[in-house]
Amino acid sequence: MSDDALQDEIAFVEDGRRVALTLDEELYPRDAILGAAYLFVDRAWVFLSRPGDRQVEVRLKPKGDTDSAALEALAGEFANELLNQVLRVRIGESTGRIREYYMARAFFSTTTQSSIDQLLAELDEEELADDDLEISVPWDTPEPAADTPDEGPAVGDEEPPRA
Amino acid sequence: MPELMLHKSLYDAAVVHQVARLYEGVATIAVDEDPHAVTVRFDDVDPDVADVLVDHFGNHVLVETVKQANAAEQVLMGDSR
Repeated sequence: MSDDALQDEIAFVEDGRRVALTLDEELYPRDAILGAAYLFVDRAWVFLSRPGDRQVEVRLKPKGDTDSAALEALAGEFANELLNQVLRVRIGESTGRIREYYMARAFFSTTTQSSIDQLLAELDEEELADDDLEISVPWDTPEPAADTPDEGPAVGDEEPPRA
Repeated sequence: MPELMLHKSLYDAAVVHQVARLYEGVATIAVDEDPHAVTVRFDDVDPDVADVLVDHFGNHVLVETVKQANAAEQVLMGDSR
């Protein structure tokens, strides 16, 4: 989006010393306006007011010498930063549920973890008490019964090859 | 006497009072509240800072308001940054 297009959407007026932008709070949430204003306090004196319902006026007065071109540029930069802040706010809103979920999960998983630890401790006592390394090895697994119908002959029970 | 009207939906009223106390050394400051706005009046202004006092005060309240809002949000979200 070009600066001209932006400035068509965000009306501003300047009087040679300061520039004022009037913003619709339906389009630009209050938090986004405050966030953008915050980033300009090192360059300009910033003042916010409410000229009407759901409207916020942002007045920027540069701290140094200025002229009309600089004021227009300042307004354009503010408009661009405002878009960044709107995006930040929108992403914050859209990911809010996910953050809440992870917070809840973090609290919940503490309890779950202790339950898992308890179960592992019980297993250690019952099954792995005599295993120093506590590693399951194939030679310790019980062999299947030789007379299992679906399985082939056990080793050693095979018929010898015919001569 | 300079005067500044800060809308409560944009500026934190408690912050306005806090910042007003910080500026007591350079002016006599009276803070009045109504349901919608906080009005700050500056009297006996130190001539050295008269030009920028109101502007400086406005920026100061804005910065502290945003910081306060961010701190509150981080507490709510459990953000430890």
